[in-house]
Amino acid sequence: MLVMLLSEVNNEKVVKVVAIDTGNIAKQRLLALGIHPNDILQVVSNPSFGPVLIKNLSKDNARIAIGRGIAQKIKVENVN
Amino acid sequence: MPELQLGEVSLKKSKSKTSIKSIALVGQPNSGKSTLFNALSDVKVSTANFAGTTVEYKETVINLFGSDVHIIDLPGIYSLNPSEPAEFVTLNYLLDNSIDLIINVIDSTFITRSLELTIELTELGIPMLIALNMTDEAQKKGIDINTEELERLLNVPTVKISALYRKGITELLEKIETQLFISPKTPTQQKFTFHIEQVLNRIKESFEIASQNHIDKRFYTIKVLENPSLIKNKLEITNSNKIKLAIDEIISQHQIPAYEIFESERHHRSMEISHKVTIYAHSSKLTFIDKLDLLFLKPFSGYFFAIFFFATYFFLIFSAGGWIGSLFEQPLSELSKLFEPLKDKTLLGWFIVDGIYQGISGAIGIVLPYFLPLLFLTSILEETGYMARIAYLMDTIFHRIGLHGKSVASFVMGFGCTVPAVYATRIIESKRDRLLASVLINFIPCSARLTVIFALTTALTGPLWTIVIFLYILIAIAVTSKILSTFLPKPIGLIMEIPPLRLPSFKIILKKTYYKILEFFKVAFPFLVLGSLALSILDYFNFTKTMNSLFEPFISNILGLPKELGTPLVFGFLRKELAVFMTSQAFGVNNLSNIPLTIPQVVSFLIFIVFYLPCVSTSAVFWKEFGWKHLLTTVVLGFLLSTISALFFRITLTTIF
Repeated sequence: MLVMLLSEVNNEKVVKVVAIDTGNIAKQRLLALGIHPNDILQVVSNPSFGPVLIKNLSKDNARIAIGRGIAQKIKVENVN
Repeated sequence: MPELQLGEVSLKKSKSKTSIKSIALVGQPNSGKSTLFNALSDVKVSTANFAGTTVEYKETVINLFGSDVHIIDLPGIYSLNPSEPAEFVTLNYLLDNSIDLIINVIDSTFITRSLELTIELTELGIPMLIALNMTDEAQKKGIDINTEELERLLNVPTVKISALYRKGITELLEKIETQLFISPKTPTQQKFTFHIEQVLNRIKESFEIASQNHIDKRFYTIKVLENPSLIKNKLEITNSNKIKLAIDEIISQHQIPAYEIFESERHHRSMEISHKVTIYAHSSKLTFIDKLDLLFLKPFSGYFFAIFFFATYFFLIFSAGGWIGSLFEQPLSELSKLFEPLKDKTLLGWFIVDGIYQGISGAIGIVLPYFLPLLFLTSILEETGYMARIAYLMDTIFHRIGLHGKSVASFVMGFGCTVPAVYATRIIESKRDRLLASVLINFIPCSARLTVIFALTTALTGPLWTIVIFLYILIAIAVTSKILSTFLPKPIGLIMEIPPLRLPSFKIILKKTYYKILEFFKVAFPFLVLGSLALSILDYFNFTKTMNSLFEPFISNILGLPKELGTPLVFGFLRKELAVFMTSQAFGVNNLSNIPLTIPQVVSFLIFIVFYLPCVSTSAVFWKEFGWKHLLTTVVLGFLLSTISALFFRITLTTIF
């Protein structure tokens, strides 16, 4: 399976979180807001600049905005 | 059992603090805690600040079933491993105060994620109650929750409610009674993996809790491994070696940091429980609101709507403000005629009465008309969740000037009043981002300064200059931010929930507005009246002339303004809106359009007044929040910025005119 960065995923695509390689502070925050490895995320809006907006399909479709810098440190893979 | 009626829930002052039972409302942000709090209290609420901090909480004492019960609404928290300043407050409150019942408020549409906090709360070992809020909304989304099963798994009584529509409140009150007075149930501790439980067992005698309280020792045992820095002041470690060995052991088994092990264990348990209790119907069609929300969030359409909403926001504030102001005009001028005869009897007496009158009429006739619609509309933006969309959209721009997207809400609030705006920065996790945002908020024209800008430009320069002044302020703030942020480390990126758009409760918006207006009358109003009185008395003794000549070198030589403007600038420190009528008073004119100032003078004066000094209340808050050194830096920075800006306008405009 192709591993890519969350920041590279196109709109509407559904992906699975493989690894969160951010610093500890950002990681704890992501976990607290319900984003864990193996969660299934749908990218709602990923413009060419600014934060990536995702919908966490594993957690009640909660929508979380993730800054581009952090999204570049989250590894994901495609799911159908 | 006394008969249960909502009408019985009435406010009473507590007679003895010790015997009174205490309930804490705890939940994730946007779970509707405050709405529930309102539904429960509904009579009178006192707001206060936590000692040593400025995070606001609400508490009330209500009479339930014949006994007084204390209820406190704690700031929203995602996890008991906090990262925001406001979250630390909630955790410390739970640990340091005797609480008889925790009501865990859950947004039913986010049940899976919310259960993680619920599991953390069970670790405290305090009797709990789960209020599944927004049940109606969850049902619309096809989510149904089996409360009996949830209750059985956690041993926590669970009630479905809709705080906004006051559904299920009676049942909730019944359960509160059982949990408080009849037979309190303590939650079942959720077990971790076998070997982690073994480790926990091994170290539970390796420390003492500094002040024994109502919290289950298991909570501290977990935290010693998971997040030791969080509770280190509350414990006395007796065998640090044993604890260190235990941490090393679990880290070597899992190859990840300890906090992640516990997080993921709770995460799995909450997923498991969620699967057992939640029934999803297949209806994930996008509703109209969802589609509209996407338009609010996507770039371009989002910016379009944001501009549209803000244009409407400012238009409404100023048209409503003008209208409300005109209502007061007639009665206020009638009032001034009443004490006119005093002038012939005692001139000093007249000056005193007139000083007080000017203060009152300034507050009611000039400030309040704009303040009222501004507070009301800002509450709507907050309560509907639209403010989070603005933060998301603006993060790109904010990031570029070295700020955090989360500071957007504070900046918007800054157009109302700087004081609550500085408080609102508490949702920003990093100290660096918070400080920078707070320094810059000082330069956002608050309603008082907006009033000055609008009043003087309308009377003397025309609306084109209003726009020029606004654009300049925004650019100046952006440039200052960019310059300041080069001296600071890089900010941490944005991680923020975008809560669903919600229909706000009209009642809560009115209440929010009411409390802020009340605060205005308590905090600012006395300053206005006293400041105006002081000025009037000084005027009687001709002291204003001395003051004006004292500041003349700076005001006329550098800013190029008439020396009469010295007094308005000095008193502007008390409250900036004083500057308007003090300006007219300084020149002895009744009508603002008679003030003898040229357009370049008005523009440099306004720019100067926006930046030059934080007002008294802001300075006090700033000192308390960040210390006097940062306050001093802000003051110096503001003074530099205002002088440079005013000079810039003086030079460029006088060459044009």
